[in-house]
Amino acid sequence: MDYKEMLQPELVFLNIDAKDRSDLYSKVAAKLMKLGYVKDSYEAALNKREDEFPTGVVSDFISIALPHANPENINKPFVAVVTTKEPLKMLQMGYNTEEEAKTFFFLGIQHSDDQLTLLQEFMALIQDKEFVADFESISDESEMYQYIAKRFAEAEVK
Amino acid sequence: MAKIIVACGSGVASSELVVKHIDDFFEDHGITGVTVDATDFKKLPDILASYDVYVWIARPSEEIQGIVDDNNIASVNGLPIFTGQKPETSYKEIIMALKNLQTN
Repeated sequence: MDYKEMLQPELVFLNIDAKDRSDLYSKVAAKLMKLGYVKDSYEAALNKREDEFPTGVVSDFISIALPHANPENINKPFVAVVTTKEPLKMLQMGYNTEEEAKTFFFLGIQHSDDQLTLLQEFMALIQDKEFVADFESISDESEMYQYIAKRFAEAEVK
Repeated sequence: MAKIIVACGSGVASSELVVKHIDDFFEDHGITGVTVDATDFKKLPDILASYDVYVWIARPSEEIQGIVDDNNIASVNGLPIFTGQKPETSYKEIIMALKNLQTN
């Protein structure tokens, strides 16, 4: 599957009102479940994974997290772009130190090089000052979808 | 043949991405004769002892650290490679570890 097909207009959820990480995960899991992307087991798997192996990543410009669960908990590959109203306390991958994140890219990764490309692409984007400024200025979900899809398309040309 | 293992929590995404980067780096620098594998934390304790270099993306547990110490495995922080922020630090450590293997 082409990684660009993993990003869909229905998968952008901006400005979610969540009081903490588990509240956010519960809200996003419910949306993904309704859309048929994940199984019942997804939310618990997501939390377990985050407890054992935090997924926060901090660049010079933005703090994010990449919540994901093992492949058996998802039905089809996806990437969900999520922001929260207030920053949430998260832990950084590998270092387990605290960060505050408002930006979450939920990855429904199964197993293919295309999906690795997606991860690589996000890593590059969060280190791009211009992307981060644009990303943070967009509050409309369909505009956000268009913008990220455009950036993905440009990246392929590179 | 030197062997490098990269391990993350699930073995699905992050470790494979780092393996890809290390493979590309070796290719760009004409380094041959090194295998780089990806795994997850579940399988790692059983296979770690047979590797020369361990690149971690998820924090090593006590059990893992014990195996690293007992078997004299070089341990390298792979997060800079994963995020692409100053990856040269990690590559340098990997190269050093490989050089040490040759001299020992």
